[in-house]
Amino acid sequence: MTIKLRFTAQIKDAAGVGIDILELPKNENLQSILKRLTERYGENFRRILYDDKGIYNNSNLIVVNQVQVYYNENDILNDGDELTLLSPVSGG
Amino acid sequence: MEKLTKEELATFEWQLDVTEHGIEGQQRLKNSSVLISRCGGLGSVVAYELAAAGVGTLIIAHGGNVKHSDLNRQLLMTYDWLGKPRVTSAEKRLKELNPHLNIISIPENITETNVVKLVGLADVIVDAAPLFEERFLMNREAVNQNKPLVDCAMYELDAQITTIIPGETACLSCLYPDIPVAWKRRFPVFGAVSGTIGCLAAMEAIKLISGFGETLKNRLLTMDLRSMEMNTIQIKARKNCKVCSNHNMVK
Repeated sequence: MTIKLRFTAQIKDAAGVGIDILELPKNENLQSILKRLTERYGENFRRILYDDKGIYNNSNLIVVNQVQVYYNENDILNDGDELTLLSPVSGG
Repeated sequence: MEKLTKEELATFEWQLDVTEHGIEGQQRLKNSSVLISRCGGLGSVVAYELAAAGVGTLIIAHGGNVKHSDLNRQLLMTYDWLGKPRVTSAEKRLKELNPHLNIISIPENITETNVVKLVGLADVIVDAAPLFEERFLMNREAVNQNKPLVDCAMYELDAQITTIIPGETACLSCLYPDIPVAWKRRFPVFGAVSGTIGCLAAMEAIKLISGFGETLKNRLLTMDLRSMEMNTIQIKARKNCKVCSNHNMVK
């Protein structure tokens, strides 16, 4: 199946792209997909998503098809879904 | 409630015709107070738009003196005020636009020491601070005092905004339960990006006070000004949120 990826702010910087496409087997869950993304985009990307013990940094928002989801709910994604990872931003 | 003067009726003539706003909405703006912290790239534009719209009292909290690197986006800071206090520059510029505006200017950023008092003075809070520590303090106190808070933010050409209503919506700590690991104090940005999202924050505050339209409750509006794409994301309260889960949250 194919899912569309979107990244914002520092996650986009670490990935090097704002939009991407991921091909993967059917019925893959969110946590598995995020692990795939760390392998694809490298160490800087991984360090934003996970701490040194491999625990997900919950301050990164996960959005599937414009609806926020939680990491620990570990939803299955479907063909054609759009997965967005939003890095927290501030101001000044 | 204090009525509008003849001069105010003339000043706000064009917006008095806005559907569902009118004279009553304008009176509500006149009798309202908004806390804005800080008055940087975001907060300057929020304050300027609210001063123009006729909000009666602005509480502006911002420490430090004007620097060259403020001037690309902090539109209340002026070249002639380099090295002098930012809040004084902000106050001067706001008074040029609206001499009737009541300004409570605090030459400090939001801290644990001042947050209870400053949030207590306001009907609406606009969170425009660069540090998440300040944002979390304002969020916590807005929830404790049951006051709406507009949270606006940007990075590079990305920007986002949501409106937090205690008891009805996710709060900032629902979105970000911890200090974000990747955030850095200095970040890339154009003033046109902070100005865009600042205008939207001002509009949210105006709607909250006047009482018309739909605010961004439980919705996070995100925009990428590089591609001009905008999205509205449904967000939700976190069940074990350390700030709002004990404040009559509707889960």
